Amino acid sequence: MPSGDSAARARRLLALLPYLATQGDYALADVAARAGADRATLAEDLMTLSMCGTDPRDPNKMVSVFVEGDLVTIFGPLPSLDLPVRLTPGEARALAAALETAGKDAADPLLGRLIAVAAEGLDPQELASTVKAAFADGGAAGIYAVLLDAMTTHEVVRVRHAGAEDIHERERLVRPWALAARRGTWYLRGWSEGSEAERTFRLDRISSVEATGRNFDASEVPDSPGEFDPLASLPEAPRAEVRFALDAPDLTPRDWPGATFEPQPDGSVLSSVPYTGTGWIARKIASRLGDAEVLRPIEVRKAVERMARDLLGEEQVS
Amino acid sequence: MAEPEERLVNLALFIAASEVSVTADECRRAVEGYPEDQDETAFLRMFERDKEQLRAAGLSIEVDDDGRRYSLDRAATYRHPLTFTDDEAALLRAVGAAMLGDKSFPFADDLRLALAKLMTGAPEAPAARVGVIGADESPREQGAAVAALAAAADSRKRVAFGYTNARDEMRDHEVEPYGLFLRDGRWYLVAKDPSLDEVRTYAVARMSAVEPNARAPKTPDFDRPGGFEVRAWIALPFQYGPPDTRRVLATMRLSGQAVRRVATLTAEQGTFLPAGPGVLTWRIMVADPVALASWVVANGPGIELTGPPAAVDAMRSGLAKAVDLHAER
Repeated sequence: MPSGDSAARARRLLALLPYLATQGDYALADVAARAGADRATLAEDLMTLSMCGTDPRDPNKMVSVFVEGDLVTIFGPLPSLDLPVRLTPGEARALAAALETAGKDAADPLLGRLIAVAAEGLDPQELASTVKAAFADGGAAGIYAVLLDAMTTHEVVRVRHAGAEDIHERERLVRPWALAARRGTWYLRGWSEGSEAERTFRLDRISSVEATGRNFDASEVPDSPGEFDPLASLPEAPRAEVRFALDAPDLTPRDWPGATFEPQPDGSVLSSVPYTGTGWIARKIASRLGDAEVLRPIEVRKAVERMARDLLGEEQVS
Repeated sequence: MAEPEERLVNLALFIAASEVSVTADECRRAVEGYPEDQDETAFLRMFERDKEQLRAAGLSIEVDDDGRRYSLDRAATYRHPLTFTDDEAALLRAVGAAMLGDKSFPFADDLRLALAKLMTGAPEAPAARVGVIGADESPREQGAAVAALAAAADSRKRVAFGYTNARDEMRDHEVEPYGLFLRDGRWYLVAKDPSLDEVRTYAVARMSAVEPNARAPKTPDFDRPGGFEVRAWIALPFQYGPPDTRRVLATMRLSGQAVRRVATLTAEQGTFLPAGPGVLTWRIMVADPVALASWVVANGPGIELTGPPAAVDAMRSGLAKAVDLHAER
């Protein structure tokens, strides 16, 4: 009986067959990139496929592939199965969940087209009824796509963005380096030309983005920029000293990344909270509705006061 | 002797290459990998399992009316032709790379196969620099648990697990899994606890030893309610607690960036009515008006709280207290 591993490997091998339908020499790396496999696994899979066929006594009825070093040689037609197979329900759901994360929900035309072509009979809405991996905001997919394209072509983009403390948007010219999602929120990392500094922007706070047609030097992009962690700069960030009142709820490292908590004899908690922008921490403290006080630095105290006054006086209470 | 995966590929190639339907015995003789000394009963068991594995890979293997001959239904097996624009190919590659790099993504194996099946013949696209961490607490463990829970929900099999609640108390559960959602970096299971006759939401990160019922895998243990929508079970922080505790109607006016990010902000809960150009009125039932007031401040700008009075008062008095605490002395 095939074990789970054997069955999984067989599925992988079968999915590879259509890549071997056209004879010729191919770079292993190119085939791996197309098939979404790493090179070592692909080489091993192709070697296994070279031993498969409809008649082991007849070389013309075997899978005619040969791998040597970085070269894949396909030297004969496939015995059968030279067209891509449809998606299984599990594969369609995985695709839907992945695209949803990039802002394309069950109603998106691309997902609908892929399902119609490759998994006829399945309903994207039905797939989403039992697994919900993300929420897609209208327009988010468009912003994501423009940034992805600009990252690939190393093109400066014009971004309209409002930070947590901003009532009005500001326009910035940004050299986009990478996109990362953390806890369901997408972030853009890049070089802000106006600030002349590396900056991180939340995509859901960007209202529009357009390519400028002006390129930047690809060599300035740091190594592995796609692996950046939006919270990684916290250890070097400035810290605010905050006192939380007795029994203040939700004082967990998860809600306050990088913060330390020291219970005091009177039941209050002293905390050291890293922050990358006063707007973020001012809003966070204001949302405690009076059970937290910033002791220092003074600019954060002022930012909290200003935000609370703004919210009282201007926009959020009626 | 061929490895099991080679036998499966050989069987798929043989059935697909056959112009006419073939019997199990013909497969046995032609396909490399079936042991020669295997008795008939053992062979038929192995052959049945192999066919099921090929069907699970997407091959539509038909059985003739007499139940003895097998063939590939080509129309039901092969996907339709597909062309991509460069942008679509780049997007799929970027999303694929990002999700396959996310240790918490529960469907990585299926996604890898889906992309392999779809991207044959797609235009080349450079590798994109995209990283995703969907669930950030024990991502690998959450991903594996969600994969098992989703499979159990699909096959409607009960699942047993240990669960440590917010008070750090551990208890064993056996539930009927209905659906799963990811919110703020955590996966949640919506499931019915038959012992309580209640549908509840469980944080996957709080589970241990997730064990789907392995008995009678093809026989469902339960029925999922018709029209079940997992998104209806997502709760915002001011809604926490049993649904019957949400007794207060809140109304908010959303504008600016709050409208643009309305889906992620609200998790599509409540109702939305247009209230002018670029403005929405949002109505939602609330369990805790004070928590709502805090949430509105934390998630602004662009959210104007208009009711209930208890939440508006909590927000005003709380902000006034924050001003007092931080005003220059």
